Amino acid sequence: MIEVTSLSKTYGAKRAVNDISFTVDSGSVTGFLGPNGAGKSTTMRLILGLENPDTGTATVDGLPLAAHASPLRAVGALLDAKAVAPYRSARNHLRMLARTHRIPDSRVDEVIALTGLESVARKSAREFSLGMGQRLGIATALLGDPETLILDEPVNGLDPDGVIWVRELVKGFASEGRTVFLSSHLMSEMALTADRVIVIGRGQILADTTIDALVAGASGASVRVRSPQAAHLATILDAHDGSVAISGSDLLHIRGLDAAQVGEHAAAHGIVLHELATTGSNLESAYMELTAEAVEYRSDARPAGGAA
Amino acid sequence: MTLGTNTGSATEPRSSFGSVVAGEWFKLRTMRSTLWLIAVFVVLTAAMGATSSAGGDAPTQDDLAARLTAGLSLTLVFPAVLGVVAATSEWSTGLVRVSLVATPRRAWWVMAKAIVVGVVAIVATVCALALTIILSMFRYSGTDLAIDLTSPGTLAVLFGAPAFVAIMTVLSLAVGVLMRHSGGAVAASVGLLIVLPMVMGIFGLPVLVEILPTNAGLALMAQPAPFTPAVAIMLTLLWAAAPLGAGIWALQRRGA
Repeated sequence: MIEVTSLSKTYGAKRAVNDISFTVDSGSVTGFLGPNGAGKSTTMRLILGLENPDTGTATVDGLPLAAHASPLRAVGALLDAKAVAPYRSARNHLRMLARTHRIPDSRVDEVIALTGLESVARKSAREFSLGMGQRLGIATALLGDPETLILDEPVNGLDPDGVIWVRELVKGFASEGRTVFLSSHLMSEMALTADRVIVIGRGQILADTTIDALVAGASGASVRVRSPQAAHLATILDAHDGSVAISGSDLLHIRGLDAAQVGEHAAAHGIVLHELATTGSNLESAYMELTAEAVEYRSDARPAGGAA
Repeated sequence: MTLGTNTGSATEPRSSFGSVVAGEWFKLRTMRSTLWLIAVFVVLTAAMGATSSAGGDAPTQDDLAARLTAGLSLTLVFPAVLGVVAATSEWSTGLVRVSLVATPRRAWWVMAKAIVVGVVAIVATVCALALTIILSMFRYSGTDLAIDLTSPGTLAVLFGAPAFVAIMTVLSLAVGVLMRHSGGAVAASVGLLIVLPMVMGIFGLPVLVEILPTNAGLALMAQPAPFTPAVAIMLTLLWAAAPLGAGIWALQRRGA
């Protein structure tokens, strides 16, 4: 379990993380979403003790990482797949880290097999593709058989097989009662992998909820109607509490009424429909809605006349 | 799918200061530049020592001892660079973000590096001295010169030189931890250890020049020494301890 309490970090004039608090529970996969520069990586670095917070605390299973007798057993992390000396072989990179915890080389070979790196384990990291580097980063994170996994963009550079592999890996991990905290830009991937999401924007938590609740809480489904009498229909639906947006001469997007209601109102007034469909809300639109607000907030707060 | 857990074979991993030292030793010996920096240091130190003509045609036993380390104030550059790179390669490769998750106790991490580079420097210097003595034995065979390994001057060199090189290497490591960028740290370390003593020697600032790290360290084995051995040892240790302390303090404050 990861507990973050009133955490803040400022770099120069930039408030990277602003008084955030959240909990990442064990036994489930928690996604961490936010635009670039929102504070995702800073938060992860603070949890891992790589940065000192200005205020607040971050603990893993009740202790700051440095207080754990066996840090690699407590936390496995992937922050940056390029954090490898280019001249060292993948196997030696892992053996070197294994030495710090008296982890036997048999475990090194185990994680090499687990991540599918057997054929390249003795090559220097310089020769690694992005995908292989990512697999080595995941092998590094798994080395200590940790109770908590913290992964920053784990599927970056992986092929579709690799993406599915990571998804099943973290789900299996969580099903053993362990903690998984991962960030991703791929919203569809997050929807498939995570149980919960924490959304961060401008260094503040915008949402901390389940995927389902986040999607449901968004403006939700809308109904799309195409009709040669669109303007007339819009007036009718408006009178029945529908929120109507007209795009083009014949297309309407309606919120607040479902497709059946829209069809019945149209039939009652003899209006011809060419198309009637429900457009589902999804994680991506829910996320865009949340973070768009964060962006608007930033624009308003910017001094007048400031350069874009 | 298995995560490789519960296999029963693996003992519970444990991190201690000793295991962190073991990790840093593995890291240093698999670093690309370690072997050649040490090899060049040993060969060059021995070559300069074995061909030195300190004391001229009638060298005393102390002159013969001084010949052993004739090149050391220059060849010191190689272990110094090793010390710097042992620190700065963490930042240049990004490895520091992995290292400090495995070893979040930053003081342990720096101290483990200091022990590893210090021991490597001692072993390398002992090798260089041994090679120098062997080459000198060939050089002096057939003459009435012979190195007396039990003379006070020789003993001072045999014990002082490895300690001197180790401490200068640790000082360089600390400079690397403080500066993080290889170029700047190498320049600062070589400047402090090798260039500054020469420049200050030229401008004749005797008191200041004697307390520079290289000269204080060389005083460990010089006959006659400008300081008593105790003062030389204190001064030299201070040149390693103070920057190392500053390095740890800066790392604690700044983060990775």
